[in-house]
Amino acid sequence: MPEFFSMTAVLAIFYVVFSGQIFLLSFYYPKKISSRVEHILMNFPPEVYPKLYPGFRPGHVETEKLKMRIYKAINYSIGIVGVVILAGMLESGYLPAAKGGDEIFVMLYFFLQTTPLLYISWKEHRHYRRMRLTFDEKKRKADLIRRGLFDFISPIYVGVAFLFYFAWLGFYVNHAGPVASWEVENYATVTLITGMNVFYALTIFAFVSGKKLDPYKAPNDQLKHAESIVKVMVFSSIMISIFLSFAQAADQYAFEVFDPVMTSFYMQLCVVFGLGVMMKLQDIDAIDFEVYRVLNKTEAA
Amino acid sequence: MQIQINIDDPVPQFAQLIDQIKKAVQGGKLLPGDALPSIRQLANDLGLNNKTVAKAYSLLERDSVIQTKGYRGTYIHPDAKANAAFDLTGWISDEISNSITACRKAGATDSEIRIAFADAMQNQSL
Repeated sequence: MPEFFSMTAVLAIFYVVFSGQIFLLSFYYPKKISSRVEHILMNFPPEVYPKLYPGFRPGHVETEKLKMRIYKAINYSIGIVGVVILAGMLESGYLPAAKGGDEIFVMLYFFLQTTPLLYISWKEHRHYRRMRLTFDEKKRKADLIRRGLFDFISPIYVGVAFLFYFAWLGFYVNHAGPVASWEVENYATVTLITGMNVFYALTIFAFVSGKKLDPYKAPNDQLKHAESIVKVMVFSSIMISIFLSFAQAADQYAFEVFDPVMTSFYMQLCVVFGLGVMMKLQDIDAIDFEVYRVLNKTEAA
Repeated sequence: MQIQINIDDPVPQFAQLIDQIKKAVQGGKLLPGDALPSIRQLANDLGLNNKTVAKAYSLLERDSVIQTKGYRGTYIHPDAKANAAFDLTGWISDEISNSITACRKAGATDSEIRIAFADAMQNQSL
């Protein structure tokens, strides 16, 4: 560990960053998600906007509200567990291992925190799937304008993503030594990170060329959705490269004591740039909900 | 410029696409050199099969209303306005009507004309 950092300073940074992780993932974003769902349920009820609720049954709104309350309760409970862990660490005088490895606990807690979010995402995909199955619009419209990647994101960010990926790769290869002497772990790391970037690129390609999860979505909202996906993917690629480079540097220059801090900070950035960007770009007040409404005969005429 | 497809329309979807693109060219809404969406993008946006849009693009390219420039994509042809006005179906109909009239004048029966037409088509496709 560099001498100018005392263990107290390292611990102080860790407690601040880890508290941020508890707050963001277990309190702030669950509350935002829950408010968003409740806002939709209150302002766009199934009786008036039936296309938004495929397979709607009486009592649907009450059931969904109850589910949201459970969702919040689970997240808050996980948050409290985090606070208890933090208090336990303070009480027991925890010290991060000088050789690293403690970041695994930060990761495990992060996965626990994101489990309810993953469940919500899975439910959302199922919801979209039901919407696609019930989609029966006879008149379909599209803009006759070609869309490209740079309509959604500045080329600078894409360039930065490439640059950081190759910088990490160079750094990693340089540290790992000649390819001939590589072990399975080295090949697996490079393949995994490259594969992840290829997956990001394919996802971007699918959404830029118009893949619709929600078939009713208004064209402008669909563009915003594509924009949010593109930005999240590019920012994720940049962040993973930065994180891995830092992790590599920590290993190389013997400051693994910062590993838990870096891991927690990176996880939070992923959520802020993923969920945060997605929610900001798809502002609920700007979404056109009229596409989900069934017009009466006068309105249709 | 927006395009609309009616799934219930008896006119095939690819024909609706061709018709609307030609009308947009004739009406000046699409100008020579304008970029068109990729087949995949338009098919996804309209919820159609890629093959339907590909067929429409291929027939528009045959009529020189659009042109494909490899990986750069599809564009409106420089002579699109003149070419879009040309009604190939109408021209075929006129040509065949003229031939049938000539055959009848020569005393051929409808059955003989049909057989001769089918043979000619068969020989051309060999």
